Amino acid sequence: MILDIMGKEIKEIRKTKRLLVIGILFVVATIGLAVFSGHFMEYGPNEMLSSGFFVIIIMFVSLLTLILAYDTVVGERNRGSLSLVLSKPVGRGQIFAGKFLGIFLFTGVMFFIVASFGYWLTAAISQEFPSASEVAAAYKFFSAVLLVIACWISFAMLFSTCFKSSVVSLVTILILWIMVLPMISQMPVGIYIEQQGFTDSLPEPGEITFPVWVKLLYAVNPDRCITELSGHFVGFIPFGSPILTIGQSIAAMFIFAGVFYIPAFLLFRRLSLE
Amino acid sequence: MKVIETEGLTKKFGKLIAVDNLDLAVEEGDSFGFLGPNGAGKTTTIRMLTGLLRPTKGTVQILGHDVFRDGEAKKSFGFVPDSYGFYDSLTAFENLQFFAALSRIPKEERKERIFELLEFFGLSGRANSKVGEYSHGMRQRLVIAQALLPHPRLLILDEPTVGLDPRAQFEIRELIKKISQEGITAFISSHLLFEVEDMCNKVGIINLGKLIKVDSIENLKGEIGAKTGIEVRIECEEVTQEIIKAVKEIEDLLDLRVERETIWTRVGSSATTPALITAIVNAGGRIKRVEEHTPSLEDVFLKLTESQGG
Repeated sequence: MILDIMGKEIKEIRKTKRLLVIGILFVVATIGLAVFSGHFMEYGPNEMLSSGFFVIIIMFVSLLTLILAYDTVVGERNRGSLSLVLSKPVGRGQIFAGKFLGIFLFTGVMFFIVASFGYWLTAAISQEFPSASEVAAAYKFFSAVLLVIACWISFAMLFSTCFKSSVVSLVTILILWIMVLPMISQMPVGIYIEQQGFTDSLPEPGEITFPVWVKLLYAVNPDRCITELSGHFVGFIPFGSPILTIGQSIAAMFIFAGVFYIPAFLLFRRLSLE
Repeated sequence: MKVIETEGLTKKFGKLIAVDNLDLAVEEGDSFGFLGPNGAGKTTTIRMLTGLLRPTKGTVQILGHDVFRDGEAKKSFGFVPDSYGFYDSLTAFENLQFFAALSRIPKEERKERIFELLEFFGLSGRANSKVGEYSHGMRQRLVIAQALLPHPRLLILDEPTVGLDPRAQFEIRELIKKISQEGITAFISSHLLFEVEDMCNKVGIINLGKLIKVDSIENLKGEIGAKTGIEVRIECEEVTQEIIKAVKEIEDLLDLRVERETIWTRVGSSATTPALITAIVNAGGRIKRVEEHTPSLEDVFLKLTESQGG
């Protein structure tokens, strides 16, 4: 049953125009980055991943995920299809999981294909072919991006279940994603670094130890967690010194996904179509 | 056997009581019209019957299964909501395939069942068209086809002809009648009285959240007729004093009015009409035309909802 629901979600996504637009942008951005890194910057594929430009690609994936998930419940509710679906002899847990997995599978597979293409295109353009350990590191990083995707689906599905309007759901999600979460996660880091006397330059690795409260606030944003993992796997360190370990980053993303998925599911289970 | 049974079904939205202590029983094979003015509680009741809305109080049983506790309940009915509820970007076949899976139809039987229904509803030629390209009438046929996928014993329809043009309304009514003739119990919510009169044998009238009457249409008409009388209009060549005197002597006469050559009367039952004609003829009257107006479902509905303050 979950497979049928997943299948429907994927079919519906495939035929949606908004996906086409974002998908094309995603592919174009990845190819552009590969050409720019490989040809103009003469970066190898792992250097491309650690250049910081790849974070933009991850932002695209996050945006794509949020846009696919923001109306997965509220949209069906407004179109009336949720009435039909919920009147069928299917558990709500299966419906919810099917929707989650449908978006996850679609976005995850698309990311893997496009990111892999960009990675090997960079290698081909720069003529710098990665070693086995570099490939492993790159694919560990790509796998971690799947966790970010899971986080954003859970996050968007909560608001999609809470609200009765798709627009309100989308606006709330975008405000939280663009403004609130980055502020919560990055401001304390900036303030702390400045307090420690690094006003003109970023600290070198090992030069600063972040307190627990800074780490906790930093970890609330999956985009920051994946940036940290990027540092550990391919060497991109935005604040000079890593803030979270691999384990902390992964745990934070699991917790984030769970914190949003569980209430979203409980709300969906109790959802009454008035 | 009772197909639908509710006990003390109540739904409150804050202080508003949308459905108040509803005790309803629909027997197998009935075509049950659920009538009520706008805002009477019809859709809220249907949403509770289909498990979409949890009641504040009371129970709903479909073929003996609690709709909120027993998954079997949802296997036995098909639902046609007031909004058509399909995925516009998918084709009719893809939509039905999805709902067939949700209805737990075995995979190997789905395709055959879908094409059987598309054929029955005259949509087989457009099976691979996107539903977004369908006309309103075609969508409504498709949503009924969807409801029939699992061979349900009960079909619950919420305003099945709303928003359709007269031709499509007629087609949908004919389809529902055809389905009912095949032994499927139909529970039809509507505020269109002629539609219910056309399709149903029994009605329940709800007003202000309360079920005020459940009976066969004939019984309800008879009951209202007994209370308000039946109007009989007799046109004669000439109305003389002898004729008026003879008519006034009829025992069951409730009202009498004469306008030129026409005698307007109200009598207790239609059994009195022959006596009325005999009296006029015996008094020397020559009758040109007799018209008897028995109460319609509209009269029943207006009378019942009026007495409830609707």
